[in-house]
Amino acid sequence: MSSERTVGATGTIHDQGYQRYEGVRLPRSRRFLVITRNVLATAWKARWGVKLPLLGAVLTLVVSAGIMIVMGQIESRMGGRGGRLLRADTVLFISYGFFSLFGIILAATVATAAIADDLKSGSFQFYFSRPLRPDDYVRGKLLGLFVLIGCSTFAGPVVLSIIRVCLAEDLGGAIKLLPIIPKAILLGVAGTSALVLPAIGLGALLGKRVAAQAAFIVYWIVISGFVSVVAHELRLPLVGLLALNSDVNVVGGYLFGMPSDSGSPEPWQAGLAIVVFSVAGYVALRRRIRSSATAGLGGV
Amino acid sequence: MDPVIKLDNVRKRYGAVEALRGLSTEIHGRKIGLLGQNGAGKSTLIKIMLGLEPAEGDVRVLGLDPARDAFAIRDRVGYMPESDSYLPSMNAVELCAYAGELSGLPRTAAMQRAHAALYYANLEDKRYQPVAGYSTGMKQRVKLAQALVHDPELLFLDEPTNGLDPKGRDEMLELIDQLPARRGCAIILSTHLLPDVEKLCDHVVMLHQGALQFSGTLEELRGGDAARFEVRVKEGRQRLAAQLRLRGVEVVEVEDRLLVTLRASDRGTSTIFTAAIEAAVQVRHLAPARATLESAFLRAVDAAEAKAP
Amino acid sequence: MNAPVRMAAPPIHIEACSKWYGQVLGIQDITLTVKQGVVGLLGPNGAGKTTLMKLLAGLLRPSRGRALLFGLPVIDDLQVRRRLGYAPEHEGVYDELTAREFVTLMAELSGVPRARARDQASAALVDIGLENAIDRRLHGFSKGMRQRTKLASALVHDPDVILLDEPLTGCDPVARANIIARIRALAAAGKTIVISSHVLYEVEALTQEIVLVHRGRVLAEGNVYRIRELIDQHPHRVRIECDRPRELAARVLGEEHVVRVQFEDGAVEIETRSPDRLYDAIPRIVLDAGLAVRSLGSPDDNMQAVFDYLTTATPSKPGKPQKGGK
Repeated sequence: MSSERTVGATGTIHDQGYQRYEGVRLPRSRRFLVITRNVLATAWKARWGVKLPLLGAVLTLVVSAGIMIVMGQIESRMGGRGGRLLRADTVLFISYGFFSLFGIILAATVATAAIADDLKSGSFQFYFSRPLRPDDYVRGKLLGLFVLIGCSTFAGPVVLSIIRVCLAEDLGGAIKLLPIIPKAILLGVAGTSALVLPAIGLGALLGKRVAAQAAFIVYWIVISGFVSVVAHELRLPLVGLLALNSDVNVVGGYLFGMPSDSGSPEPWQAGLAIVVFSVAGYVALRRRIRSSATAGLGGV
Repeated sequence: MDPVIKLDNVRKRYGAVEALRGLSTEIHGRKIGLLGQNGAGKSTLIKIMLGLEPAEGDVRVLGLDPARDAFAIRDRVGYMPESDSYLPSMNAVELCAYAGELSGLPRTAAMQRAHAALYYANLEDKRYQPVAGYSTGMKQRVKLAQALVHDPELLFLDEPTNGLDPKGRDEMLELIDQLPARRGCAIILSTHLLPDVEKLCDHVVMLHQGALQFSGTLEELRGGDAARFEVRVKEGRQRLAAQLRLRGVEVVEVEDRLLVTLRASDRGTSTIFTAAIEAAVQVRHLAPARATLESAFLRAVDAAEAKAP
Repeated sequence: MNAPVRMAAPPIHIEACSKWYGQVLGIQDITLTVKQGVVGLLGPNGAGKTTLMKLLAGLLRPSRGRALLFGLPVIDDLQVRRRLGYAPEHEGVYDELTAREFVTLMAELSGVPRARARDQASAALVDIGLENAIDRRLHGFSKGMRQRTKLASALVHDPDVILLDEPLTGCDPVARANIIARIRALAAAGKTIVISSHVLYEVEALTQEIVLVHRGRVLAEGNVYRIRELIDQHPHRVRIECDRPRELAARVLGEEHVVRVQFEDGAVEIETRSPDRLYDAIPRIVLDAGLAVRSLGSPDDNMQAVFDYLTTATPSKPGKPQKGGK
């Protein structure tokens, strides 16, 4: 039996040589999103410093929602005696303290380092020798940080407020509750700004990640707390403006109808203080970028 | 062929300091060396060409004006910086893909080209490890890869062999040498190591205190007299010199070599060989004598200083 | 002569020296003598060059063995160390001082009496070409200027032995030429200079004597061209550019020392086991065949080739040292 084997008559070597890139290049206006994605991807890699607080924020959300639901049930069983709105809002307000705490951890871990690390490791040359404006860089970083920290300090209250609205007994009740959503949004924006911009500003000012982190934590946890207590006891509300956490609390309290305290500053003052701190952080950031963006480029 | 770079009376001031004083030239060629002392204005010129600093006068890079089309230029130009330039916690692939995306490549294309660039730079094996842990040689190669990922037409290389051991230097120079042929881009090499420029480049631009000292081919700069040769022997240099002089050939002894000037009447280098046989001297090296780039550079600097007040 | 001649101790002598840091090996069992003049210390990164330099400078104590300067241990004897100048690769940060202050400080640390330190420092800086920047803070100095300041501080006390680790990094061509000229002058004045650099043609500009360190040991030492001759696995390559390379090759093929012949456009490269015989044969062949030779030379008879061949080749006969040369 003859075996018929067909012996191949051809052989090919494929050209693995260089191919020019003929494809599309994405528009310049969207380049900052690449940086945003990078901020988030890098943060995610940072393991415990990021994953834990995010987990904490999720837990807070779940627990608070649970409490709200339970309270709602209790209320309805008790026949609507007083302050249902108040109760839910109280949950929102108290939960904000937790969201804020996790936000502080996230800001300390990621926001302070966002610029400081780049300053140290020569990353600016990497960025600005490419078709990228300093504005794109700033926008990209800030957006990334807002998204990351906002997962706790923005998404937390907003989602809770939406849940609260959904828990209303009927459409009419829901519509009456709707205003808490924009209030939660406002609180979220204020709280997130108060964390992100000063943190990144510190990083830009000090240039070293560890120094910025230390300064941030010391300010936020120690100084801020100390100042707000002292200001409160001494009845010096304007001094209390220096404590960003109490400023955010005052704004939140105002938005959710919490009784205000004579020792606390006025809500509009607190809001203004938040704006001032945020702008200061932003300005520090911009100035630093402007001055060092192209400093090392081109060599000596 | 269009000039890669065109400068027309380019001036730049930083406050009271004139960093660049009226540079005008057209640079053709694919392998260009950018030379100058520290502070001569090289980095200022690079920043201006990348559109990072404004300047007076007319600048054209690949036909584009950095004042108006800075981004278009940076789309087409790659930059390999001198100092460390990497983002912490990234590995080589991530870094190069990020670089590609920042230059506008879509995600998958950026990833593919990142790998391709890393293959070219011979970083295949280690590309998934964090860049922070790389040796100096590997870091240099990553810098090269990230400059190539977006398919540039022109590549600026700033002291690419910094910190590399002799083997690493050799490999890096080889990679750079191949760039125009294998990647289709022109290169501008900025370095103080003049013999590297001699080996790799065909054109040279020399700056001195913000002014253009020279712009043209390497051949022009080094000059070279067709009839001059340098000769090195194993031993017996003086005997050979004497023999050559006997034949009326002009010989000058310089350090460990002889500089021989042949006349039209000599039958080329055969005269040298004949003299070598007569003097029983073993010739080990014979080549057309040309000024080294180093001596040309030093001469140019001296000339410039002599003119300055 | 029967009476024993009293030999002056060599400037540098290391005996069976090893140094390790925990599990990290610096150098193993190195014995080396360095005489007056310039010697190049070469080796891949991590081979032990910096460890060796620091041992020579008395900054490290050998784990085993001794390092001697003019016959005396360099680690403990301060008097001996005053005869040594060391310019390390990475300098400490003294940005707030001016060049003059820095070099004066270094001078005093090296034993120059305070009264004279400032003057000697100024002289050293002027010598190295930094007279214009002598009272400027180091903060604004370019790399080249820093290198020269470092060199001045290593030379200010007029040492007899000078150790330079990558002295030319970052220097522009003018500073380079300056420093190389200075080193040559020092060698001519009888000093002993050990220079370590990755840029081999710079070392070649200064000396033919090398010490090649690899994997913590001395792999080769002596005249680089003699060392080249000993590398059997890599026969010598001789490249000739002429009008009829194939004819030249044909006339040479019969010689049994020729190992390989390779053609390029307008040139031929001949590999031979005996470069002497080839070089001796070429002039005769050229004249007989009437060839017009444009150039003749060896692309691998240099430091770079020696470095490459020795550090990448696997040893053919392990442990067999080779000695040769005049």
